Amino acid sequence: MSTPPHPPAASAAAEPPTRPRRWRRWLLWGLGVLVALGLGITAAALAVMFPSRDSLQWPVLPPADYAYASQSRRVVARLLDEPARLVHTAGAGAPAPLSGFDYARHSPYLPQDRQAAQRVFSVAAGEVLLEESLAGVAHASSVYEGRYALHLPAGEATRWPLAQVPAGSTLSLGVAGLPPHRDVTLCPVEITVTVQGAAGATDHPLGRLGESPQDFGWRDHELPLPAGATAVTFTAKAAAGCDGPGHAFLADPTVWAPRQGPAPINVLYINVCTWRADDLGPEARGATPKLDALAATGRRFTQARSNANWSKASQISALTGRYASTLGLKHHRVPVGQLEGLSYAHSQWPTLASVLRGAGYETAALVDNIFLADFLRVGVDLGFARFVDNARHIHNTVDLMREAVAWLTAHGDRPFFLYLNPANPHFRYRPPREYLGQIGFGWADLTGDLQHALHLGEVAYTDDAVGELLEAVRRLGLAERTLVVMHGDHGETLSWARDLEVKVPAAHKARESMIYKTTRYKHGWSWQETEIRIPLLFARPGAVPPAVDDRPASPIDVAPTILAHLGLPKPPTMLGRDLFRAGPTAPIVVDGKGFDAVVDGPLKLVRFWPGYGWWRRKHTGEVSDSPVLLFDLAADPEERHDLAAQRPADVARLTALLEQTRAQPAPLHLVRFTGPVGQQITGRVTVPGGLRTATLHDHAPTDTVTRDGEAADFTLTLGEGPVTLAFAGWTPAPPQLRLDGPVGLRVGPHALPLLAPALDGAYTGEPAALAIGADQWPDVLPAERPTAHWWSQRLDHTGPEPWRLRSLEADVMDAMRDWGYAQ
Amino acid sequence: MRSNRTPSQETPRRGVPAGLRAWLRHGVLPGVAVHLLSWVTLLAVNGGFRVMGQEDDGITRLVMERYLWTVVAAVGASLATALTVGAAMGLLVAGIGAGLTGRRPGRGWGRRVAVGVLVYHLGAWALHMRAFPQVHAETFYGRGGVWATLQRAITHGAPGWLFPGLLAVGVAVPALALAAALVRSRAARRRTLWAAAAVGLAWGGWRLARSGPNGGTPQRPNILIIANDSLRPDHLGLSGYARRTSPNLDRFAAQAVVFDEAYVPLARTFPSWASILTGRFPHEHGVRHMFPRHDERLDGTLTLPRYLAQEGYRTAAVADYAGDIFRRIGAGFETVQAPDFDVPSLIRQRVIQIEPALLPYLHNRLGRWLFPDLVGLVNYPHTGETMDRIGDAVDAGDGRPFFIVGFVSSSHFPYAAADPWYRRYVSPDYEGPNLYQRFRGLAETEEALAADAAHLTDLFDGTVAWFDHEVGRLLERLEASGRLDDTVVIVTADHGEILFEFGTTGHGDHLRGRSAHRVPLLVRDPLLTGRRVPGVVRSVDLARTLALRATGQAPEAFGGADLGPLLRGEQTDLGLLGYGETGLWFTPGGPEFYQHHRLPYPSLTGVAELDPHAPDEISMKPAWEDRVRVAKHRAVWDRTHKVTYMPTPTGVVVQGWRVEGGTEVEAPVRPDLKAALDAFLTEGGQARVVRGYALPVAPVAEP
Repeated sequence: MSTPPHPPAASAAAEPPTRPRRWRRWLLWGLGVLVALGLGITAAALAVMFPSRDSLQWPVLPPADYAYASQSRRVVARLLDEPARLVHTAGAGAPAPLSGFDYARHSPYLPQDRQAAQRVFSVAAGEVLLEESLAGVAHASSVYEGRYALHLPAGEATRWPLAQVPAGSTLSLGVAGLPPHRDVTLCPVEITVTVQGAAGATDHPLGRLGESPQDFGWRDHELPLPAGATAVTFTAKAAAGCDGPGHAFLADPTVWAPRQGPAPINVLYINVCTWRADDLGPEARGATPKLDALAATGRRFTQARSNANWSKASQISALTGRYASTLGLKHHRVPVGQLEGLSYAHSQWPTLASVLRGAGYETAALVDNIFLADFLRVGVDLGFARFVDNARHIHNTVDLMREAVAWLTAHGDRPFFLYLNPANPHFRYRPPREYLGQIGFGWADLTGDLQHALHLGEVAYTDDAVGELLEAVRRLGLAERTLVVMHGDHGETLSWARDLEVKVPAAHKARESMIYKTTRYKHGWSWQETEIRIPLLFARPGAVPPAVDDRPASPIDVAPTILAHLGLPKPPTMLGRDLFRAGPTAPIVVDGKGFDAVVDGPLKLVRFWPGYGWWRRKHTGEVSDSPVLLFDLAADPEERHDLAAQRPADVARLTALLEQTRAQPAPLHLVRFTGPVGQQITGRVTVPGGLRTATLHDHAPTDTVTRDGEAADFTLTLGEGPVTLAFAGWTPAPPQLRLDGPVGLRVGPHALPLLAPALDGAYTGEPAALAIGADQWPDVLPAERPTAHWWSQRLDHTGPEPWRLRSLEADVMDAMRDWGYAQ
Repeated sequence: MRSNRTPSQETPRRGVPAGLRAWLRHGVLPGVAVHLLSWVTLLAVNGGFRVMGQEDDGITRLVMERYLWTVVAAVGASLATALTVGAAMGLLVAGIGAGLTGRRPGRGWGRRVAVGVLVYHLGAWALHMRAFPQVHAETFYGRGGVWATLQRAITHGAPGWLFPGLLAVGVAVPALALAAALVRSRAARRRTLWAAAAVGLAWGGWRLARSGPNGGTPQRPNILIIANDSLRPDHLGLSGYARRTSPNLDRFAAQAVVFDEAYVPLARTFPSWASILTGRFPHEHGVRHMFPRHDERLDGTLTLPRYLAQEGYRTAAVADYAGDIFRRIGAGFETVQAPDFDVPSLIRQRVIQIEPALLPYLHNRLGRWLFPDLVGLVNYPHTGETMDRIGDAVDAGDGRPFFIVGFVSSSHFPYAAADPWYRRYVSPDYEGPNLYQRFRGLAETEEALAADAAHLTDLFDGTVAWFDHEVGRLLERLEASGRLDDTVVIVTADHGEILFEFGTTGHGDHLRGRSAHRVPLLVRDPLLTGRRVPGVVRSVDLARTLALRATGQAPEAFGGADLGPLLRGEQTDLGLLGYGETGLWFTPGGPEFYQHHRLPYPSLTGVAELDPHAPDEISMKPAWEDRVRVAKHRAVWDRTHKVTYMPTPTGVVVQGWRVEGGTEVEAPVRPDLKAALDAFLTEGGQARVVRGYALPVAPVAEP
């Protein structure tokens, strides 16, 4: 078959080459569009990450001459301090006492422990919730405000007798209701406050609460009280036409009266997260003009070191005045376990807030700190009557200051202890743009240590915001009457030279498998000075003379110093000293994660927990498995040369100092009773050296624990489930347990009958027989006959522990990751 | 103009030659179709995750979440096997047809080939079902109804000559076809000759490569330990058992030193082997249950294999399913041939199990090489094949003397033995669920229980007889190769088995009676004459004894006594004491007596977890270690008396026992035995005794 010939080559060459060029052009256009898009998105993202200063809502300062100097009020009575005097009626029945009433130490870790007064939170997301139902509400982008409050269900009334109410008194309280919740039908509640005076009763209707989901948050009321008022009755009624339960909460009802005489000194305590020692003064590149000015007017400590290298341990330690490791909490872990709650929450450790409240102060904490949020089971109740956790967004320092200014403007006539914990300059570093200009941010920073510059930008932002608050204090005329305390809770590792890789055991008996944590742009794992040295200053114009103090100081000393300055006695549980009193140097102990350290003079000893070690990353390739390090900070401020081998005598001396300065907490004892329903069991525990705490859990309302010095007598009735007695002393001396009647006693993790009673029937709890491993919760022993299972739990770190956060809610985990605590 | 091609250039549309296509279409395709159908049907019928008959949502979820790819890979491998076998069988049947008719496969062949493949497939399946009924029992007998009848018909109904007949026919037909083809075509003859030559050469070379020079001498002998899981010595003929279960071992015993009172310290496989290989009691080597954690095994400890390797020995362990522990024990064997026991291998086993139709094609070395988990199947016993591999390990010499441990699982639960051993002692009228093996728990009523007890004992005896047969074969092989005279051969077990003496079966749950802890121990030494030793000896004594025998010295690390004087006849009793402790109880409660006298802890799923360091393996949670230790029952005994120790929530129960007429009866506690028990309770300082309880001294730190 013949075929047409191929087209000649020449004609092939004459064809216009359209296709190749077209796709090339399209490619270029496409790339161009992508690049433009990319740049645009980046620019937008940067604009969001580094917003303009003016886009934030700054506090509204009071007018320049708004002064409280002439006014002052004092506490006459607090409802929550006098539970025994309340007369409570439910429905139409006869008056009955409020049972199980213990507002001060409600534990969030035992949701079955229904107390009459509870910590109630209002959430900016639109709900007022009881503590235990907070789980499941997203932590991020919310503001939680919790107050100690009396719970008043609809249809009930509480009558508070008063005495010696002077003229000009007012009753202040906050109220909140429970709005309709998704699963539960709730009725709105109407609260009426009836004041019984000499002339008669006056009703103050406080309005309807819990009407709609928008009806949230605490409403503050201030009601006038006639002189000589004899009682105040709070009544709650369900809204007409609604058939169902309703709940109202009355926050801290307090009677205030005008004060004659000099006003007490207020305390404004600002604990700035991640504030390094070189983030103040000349090394801060001009980031802190206002704080430099403040420091110049007051006493600044240049050799201040924190007592822990991460927020939770550091702040709890500062507010209790004790090393975190001595509190019965696992200070190196994020979640607070049930046992820790039992041990800490009911121990009644005095905190700065609880002492000042007892002295008639208003106490409030405005923080952005997940670790103080006891409702999330990662923090503990630190005694503040009002606690606000602002988890809204990364630039919320101004929100805290705004809240503080508003509160001071409203309540500055009362003695206050205001605690602020702004999260900035915590990682991630996203300062508003203007502050980058303030520190002279330039090309050198972009190509050099960018994060350090951004960190300083955040320091500048914090400086500006705190400056606004201080200005408000001045305008309110409170400057001379307010002691301002500022320090950082720990530092941060920022430089390459200080970057470490930390070896953390991943699991029990781990040999090869470790988790490696890097320390740069973080804190919490390094023992180095960059994470421990902080600024510390006290200022009060006219009362604290300007000074630069180079004596060693740490936050454990802050509470005693404040109390001494205020003329109040320091509780014996606080370990620090009054810094204003000239005194010898004192060693500073640091409770780290994975290590303990003590700084005494120029020497610093670091002692690692078993299984922990570190590497110096990328530079010297140094590896250390040595359990102990010793540095001479005067000769070797960079902490490069470990002297432990050359100076064993100093190692021994500092180790002994570490041991003796920091007493180990006594273990928590738990006795769980099981047996036939209705069986009554009585007995007595005696703890040599005094009883720190003794409480019953999962018990009937009629069960009691009566404490008396070293002993506590208990009476309980068994129900369907076990009843647990938790107690602890101040020392590890073995306690004694006496059980009346035939009650079988089993002890220890395996519930074995290991103890024999003495002649008087009391059992002495030998630690070896009772001790169980951390976080073990023995199974409930089913028993036909009354049985007691007794064990004890140490609550310091014992041995290596995995870094496991699986038990926390997802939103808390997100926060952990966001903040660099989890990886 | 769209194309530049010229029509005269005829481009072939495909590169496949027409002949090959025909074979593919009419041979391979029908074969694949038949096997695919079979595979899919079985998958639909058997799918689901059942472990020993128990389905568990939690396990299913775990598997789906963490091991999805393992499942996918295993199912894929199974499918690939089915397709490959189908293709091969299709080709075979098409080849038969081509050979017989002399024509290439063409139209209409497909159906016939499919039928032929189906016939072969069902025939192979039936053959395999006859030989190894246990592995098919879940699909057939266990279902009841017509399926049970079908399997029973094949295993019991069909006459014995049928199956060899089937096999003969199955081989004869292709042979005929091949012969026909050879007669017809010279090319075929040539090809066949070349193929045969190649195969023959390969096989010969392989056989040659497998054997090597013997390195043992009577003075420095090879050591071969042959062990059978759960083997009771009192069920061997040489101990006076009524049934002649062990003719080969009886003959062997005539030349061997037979220890009538040999005991293991813990009647569970992992701890027992740890004791044998280290010469130490469980509290000394640290393996106290079947689920030791990664860092609690014998790595880094001086074991008998490591010691002998230092002394120039070649060491190896060959085992089937109960010997999965050899892969994990860290005993230092140079080579270990044993199946795995971790979650992925359990998954793979399950996938194999649900496709029993593929097993006939995998019952060969290639199949076991492709699917090593075959050997791990509990109800697919491989005693014969494992003995062959032990023999191969023996033959694979390199001039060094060898120390080989061969461990088979014939007598292990579920007492599954191949045909004809499982039916050797079973009553022909039996119709219960445990016909082929202990299948699904025991019957409910008392009579049925009694009936099953006798039947299960019969099954057990069948496994003993099987083991004996295979040991006989191995010994013959050793004799033929001349190695028997240079080898110390030991026949023993890792523990015994309780067969209804206390109401049920098992081992390691309590310490009453002697059947769980007593093991056979026969030692044939070329330099020694046969005798019987009545004195108590322990498996922990073996390491020292063997080390001394092989090298003339033994390291301090091997605790235990030297049994040399007993072996040589210088003494009959060294006055040694037996010590035993219980293993992990798998359920927190139950009707057995020991469940009422124990400290409680959760079931296996509560105390075990996936090991954080070896995430596919199951190990005990550290939080439960102490409790399991404290809760152990313990005992000390000699030939005539025993003292048992049971910690309970209300106190410690110590009882004395005396041997009387084959059983143990209660007797006063002998003070010397009690003192020995107290010494064991302190565990060499690792525990202290508080009001009778042995409490660990250093509490285990938090997990």
